[in-house]
Formats: sequence, C-alpha cells, structure tokens
Amino acid sequence: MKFMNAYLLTAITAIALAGCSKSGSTDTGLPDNPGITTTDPNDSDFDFAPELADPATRYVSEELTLRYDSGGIMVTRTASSIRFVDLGGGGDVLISSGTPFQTGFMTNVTIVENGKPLPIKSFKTERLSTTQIYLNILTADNRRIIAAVTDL
Amino acid sequence: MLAILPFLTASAANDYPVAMLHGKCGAQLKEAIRTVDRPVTLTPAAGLPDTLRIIDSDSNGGFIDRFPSASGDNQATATTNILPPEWWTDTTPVYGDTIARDLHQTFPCSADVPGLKQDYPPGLVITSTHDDGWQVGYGEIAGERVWVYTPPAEYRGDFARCIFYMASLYPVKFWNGLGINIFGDNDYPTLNRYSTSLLLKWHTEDPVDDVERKRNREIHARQGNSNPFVLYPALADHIWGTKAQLPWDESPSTVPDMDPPAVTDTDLRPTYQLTDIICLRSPYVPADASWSIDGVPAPGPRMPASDIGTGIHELRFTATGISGKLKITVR
Repeated sequence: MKFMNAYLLTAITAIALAGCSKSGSTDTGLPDNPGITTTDPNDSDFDFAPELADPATRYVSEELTLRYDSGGIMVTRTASSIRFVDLGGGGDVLISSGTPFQTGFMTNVTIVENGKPLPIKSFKTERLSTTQIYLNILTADNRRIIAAVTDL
Repeated sequence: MLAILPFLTASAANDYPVAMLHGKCGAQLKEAIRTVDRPVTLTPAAGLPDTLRIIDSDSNGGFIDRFPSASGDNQATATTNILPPEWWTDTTPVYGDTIARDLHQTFPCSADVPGLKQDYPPGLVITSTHDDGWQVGYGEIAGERVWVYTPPAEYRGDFARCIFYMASLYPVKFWNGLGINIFGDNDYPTLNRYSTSLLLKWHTEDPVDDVERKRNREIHARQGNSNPFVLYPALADHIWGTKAQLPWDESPSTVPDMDPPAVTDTDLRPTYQLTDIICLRSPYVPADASWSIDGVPAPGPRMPASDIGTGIHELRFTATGISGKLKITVR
C-alpha cells in the first residue's frame, strides 16, 4: 500500500512536471539552418535567365541529375516542398521549407539529396506560380543546384 | 484512490502534445518533436538498475532481456544504453548526462553485455564474433568495415524507435567515436543513409507491441516524457521515409498499428510489359489521390498495361495539398 501511494505520488508529480515542461522553453541552443544567408546566388559568372527559359522539369546538382522527361522520375509538389524520386532507384531529393515557397530569398529550407543534407549558402525562388517553380541554390562550397518544376 | 492508478498511467502516455506535430513533415516535424519532448525527471544513475528491473519486469519475476543469451547468466545485474553516451561527449554542456540516464534508451542486461557491445552502433552484422541471441561483429557502412551489434529480430523495431527518439531529441553538430557511422552532423535528417534505410526496415518488420507500449507508459510515469514513435509509429515515415513531404496527422492511417503499407512490387515503377498490371499507388502518394493517365481520369486503381498500350504515358495525381506526375514506359 505504501509502495502504491508512493508510486501514485511519483506519477502525479511527473505529470505535473511534464505539463510545466511543455509550456516552457526546451531550447538546447542549437541554431536553426546555420549558414544560410540572403547572399545573391547569382554572380558575374552565372546567368539564371537561360534556366528560366528552359521549361523542363529537372533537378541538377553536381552529384545528381534527375530529368522528368527521362521517365521513371516521380515529381511531387506541395506548397512548401518538392520531391524528385527516381523510381528505378537512381536518386531521391527532397527540398522543403518551413513555410510555403515565396519568390525571393528563403532561409528556412533544407535539401536532402540521397539521404544526405546539403549545407546551403543561398536559396532563392526565382519564379513561382501555381504551375511553376524555379529554384536557384548555392551550396556552402559554392556548387550550384537548379530545381525546376513546371506544369504541375 | 488506488483504483484510479491504471487510468493515470494510461492517460499519462496519451497526453503527448500531439497538436504541436499536426500538419508538419520532414525537418519541421522532427524539430517539433525536439521542441515539445524532453525528459523532466531523470532517475539518478545509482537508481537505474532497480528502476529498470521494475520497468522491464516480466510476469515470472524475471526481466525482459533485449540482449538474451543461451549461455550467459541472464541476470539483470547491469544496464546498457542503446546508443553510447560517449558519442555526445563534446556536447555535455548542452545535454549533461541526460543521454546516459534517459530511460527510453536504457535497458537492464546481464553483466557481460556492456563489454560485448562496447560503444558500437546498432547495425547489420555480416561477420560475427558473438552470436548468441544477438550479434556483435563487422558490418559494412559506406563501404567500410565497422564494428556493429545487431539486436534480436523481435526487438529490432524497439531499437529503431528508440534511435528515432534519440535522433530527434538530441541532434548535434559533432559526433564522437563510432556515432559518425549512423548519424550526420546536422539537425535534419541526423540519421544517415545507412541508418535511415536499416532502421525504417526494422521499424516496419517489428511493429509496436503491448510490451513496448507498456514500457513507454512506465517511463512516462517516471521520467515525464514519452517516445512519440511508439505512440505514433507513422511519424518516422513522415520524417525520414516516403511520406517526408506529406503532413502528418493523427488520422486513422497514422495511429499505432495502422501504418501505411511498405513499398511492394505492386507500387508504380518506371517500366512495364504489356502483360503487367499497373497499380496506381506509391508510397510517395496519398492513398486517396485521384489519378489521370495521359490527361484522362483513370478508370480505377488497377488496370492492365495493355489497356493503354506500348509507349510512354504520363500519370498525374492530385490529393489534398499535394500533386505529382510521372512518366512510365510500357513495352
């Protein structure tokens, strides 16, 4: 009986403390999306205009190229994410944002390419409409990524 | 008064602030778990063996041994962590010794287990040096031979969900020791490609059972927090799996024991033969999606490839909040 009462007290205390924790801060000091800046990904050596003129749905990075027209590439889009998946096992990229995509620079974004997150220096939505999105991305080591989804 | 105890312990596990997770996926969902879930009351290190003997007691007066041995002493005289606290050494100011004392990742075991397991990561043993209910030996990660341990098949899902929990609550930017074999130095996805694939497989093959649910409740009553991947197993797929683009909700398709089906040979693929059946389903697509083929609404969820003929065909789907497209080839 004494044990059960002690157990009950422990349970009630734990529940009360849990309630406190959930309303309070649990910050560990870990920064969100470190390294992403609003630096313009375009420089004197790169012109995004030809990319905008290309209507192909594609993801092109130094390590991985997935072109929708090649076939077998599932492309999915939500308000805040894009995914390219080679159903033949050739690659998987998920680009996601904490908020719906918007034209211009964005910082709360992640790119996971084949299971590996890519450190991002700059992320800019160059064009956005209900059927198109063009992303211009520069990684932390200055490698360019182009992601375009059209007609979707 | 005692009569309400079972109610209290059960409700404790069900008071997870699940509303904070609704509508999120991928990195945002993982971050939401980190924000709302944290141990409140840690068991003193000296009290861990006794506490765990109670939590993991079985109906015969013994304990539920996740590291069973046919030849060992099988006495719960030691404890072990699924993931070694040494991996977080440089982050002690952030997490203190929470990692070593978090009951969700701590288990009773016989005295020989810590020495056998050392600080190895969970993984798939290919060449074993210990094989007695569970394995220790060499695995292969990213082309390298690495010491790993493999839990018994009946507990692999338990271990996977524990690691999902640890990766969500305690991500860091620098992993010590062998931690680099399963974790990346990032907030998301934290699990690397090897561990993501392996752990999701274990998670699917060994679903949550009553023993694991009871353990989660027992720990909540003592520690003040739950493992959400035990309460809501579908969370893992919405963070690391094929649903990472799809917002998670506590719907009938995501409550425990009702996980989405795994990838099967009936899911959409790039090419078909004329004699094949095309099933308009994919783990990347909500089950209630509406499909069209070459601009025409699909007549049903399955059809003979011969109905659309040879050539390249475009499939499109729409569902709430998501749309997609795919080109397939019929030969």
